[in-house]
Amino acid sequence: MKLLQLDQIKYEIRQYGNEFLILKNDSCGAVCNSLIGKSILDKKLPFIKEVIASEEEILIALSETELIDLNALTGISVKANQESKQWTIPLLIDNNGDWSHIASRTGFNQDAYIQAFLQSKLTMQMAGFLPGFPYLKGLDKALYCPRKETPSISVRAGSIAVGGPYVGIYPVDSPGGWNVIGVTPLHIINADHIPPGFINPGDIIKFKLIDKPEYHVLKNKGLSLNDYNFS
Amino acid sequence: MITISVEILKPGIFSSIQDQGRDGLAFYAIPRGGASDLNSFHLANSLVGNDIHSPVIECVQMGLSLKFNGSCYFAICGSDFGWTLNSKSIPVNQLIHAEKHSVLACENSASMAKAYIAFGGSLKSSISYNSYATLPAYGWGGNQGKKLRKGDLLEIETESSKKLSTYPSLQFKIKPKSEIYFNPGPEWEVLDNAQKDLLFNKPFAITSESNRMGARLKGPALIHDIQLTYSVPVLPGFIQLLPSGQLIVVLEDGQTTGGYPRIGYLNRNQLNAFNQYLPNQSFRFVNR
Repeated sequence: MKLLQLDQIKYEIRQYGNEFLILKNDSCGAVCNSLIGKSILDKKLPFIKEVIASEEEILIALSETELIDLNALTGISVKANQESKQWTIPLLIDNNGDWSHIASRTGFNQDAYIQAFLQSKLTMQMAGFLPGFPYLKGLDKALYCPRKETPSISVRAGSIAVGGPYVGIYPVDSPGGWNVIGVTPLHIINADHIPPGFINPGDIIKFKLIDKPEYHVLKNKGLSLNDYNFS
Repeated sequence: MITISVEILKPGIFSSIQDQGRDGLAFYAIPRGGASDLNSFHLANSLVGNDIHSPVIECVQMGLSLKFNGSCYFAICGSDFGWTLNSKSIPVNQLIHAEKHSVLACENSASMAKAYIAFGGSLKSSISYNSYATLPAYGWGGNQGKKLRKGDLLEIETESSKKLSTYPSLQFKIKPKSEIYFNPGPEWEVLDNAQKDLLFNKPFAITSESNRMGARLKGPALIHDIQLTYSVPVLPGFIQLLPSGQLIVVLEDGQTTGGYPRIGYLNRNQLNAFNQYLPNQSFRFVNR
């Protein structure tokens, strides 16, 4: 097992054929791995095709033609994150959500789950899954609910769902394996921009309950997450 | 240089503009996208003399029909959907000249799942994140981010073309493979030996509940009770094990992280071959 130290964080390196490397560190967390991952990506090294950061891993997809040069990574230093933003996201409870699965796995009924959920202070961890989809963490452990046995074929855009320790928001209609609890009327994609979402790792998120009339008022305005919070 | 257009008469099931896809954006969860069978995509572009990364039409499971409103060269690689030009049968893997008003059509028999139609010159269309790869869920890429529909006009900037007396063609037939090389992935060890045996000894097939994001397989149920705590990175070609014991192969438009164990992966060449399987066509995984 090779070891690599990047900005004082130690990674174990595993290589899978000529296809990809996994840099493993199970203590620094997704926000930290995202920052290191971004620094790796920004080096634009020829042997690196893709970088994907997550909770315990940074995956590097390898170029078919260039030789791996890990030494080129050793000088990496992480730029301090920009100031973290606070976001409020309106949430309409979905009575057709995955409440029976949630009840069977957590013991909470719909009302009790929502009450506890709204107390959570959530932090954006990493980008992933779909463009604009934020991985949020900070749920009380009692609210963790495993992903579904078989993912749904289609989860509608704006759905707010829980999967394991995470809360996420579906930016578009998509197949999905998480448990839907509600929906937001806001657009959460920032199309044609990099990154394609508004929320960045380290940002703080609070959900605010709205009712159906409020949902439709906001939906008809066609607001983005950014419009709703900062204009 | 002249600009001609082709008009979509019948779009088939899922025809879209695709190219090589987007590099370097998976960090932002932007899928790579692009042609599902890069080999056939490159060949089609080579035959018409284009840069091999140029945009083409990809047809899935069914061909399309279109009308040439001007003359140009084209080539079709991948699936032979029973292609015809003005009702006369034409081969795949060959450079073909279309006169103005010609109609390309097909009988919709299918030898494989994906066909690539490359036009000599440049196909003009919309791009997102520096690629023509169409991502309909987001409205990104070619044809304003939509799959091709009846009446769509595609513009092609081409040199005025004269009919040649002989045509370059590829003197081989690409045969579908019945075996796919399986590479053990990061969570390979969640399977016990009996399950590993099932994986390599029982047939699998892609189900109809599949799309460009992922191929859901049906095969032996590899029952387990492993739950990953966290979501982990995935790439096109990664094989995820669902809690139900069935497998999903992540494809070109697929997610960049997921919460299911990654028991294996297909390398790019194997993924090209895999993407040519029709739904319900039986294949086996073999251990490399």
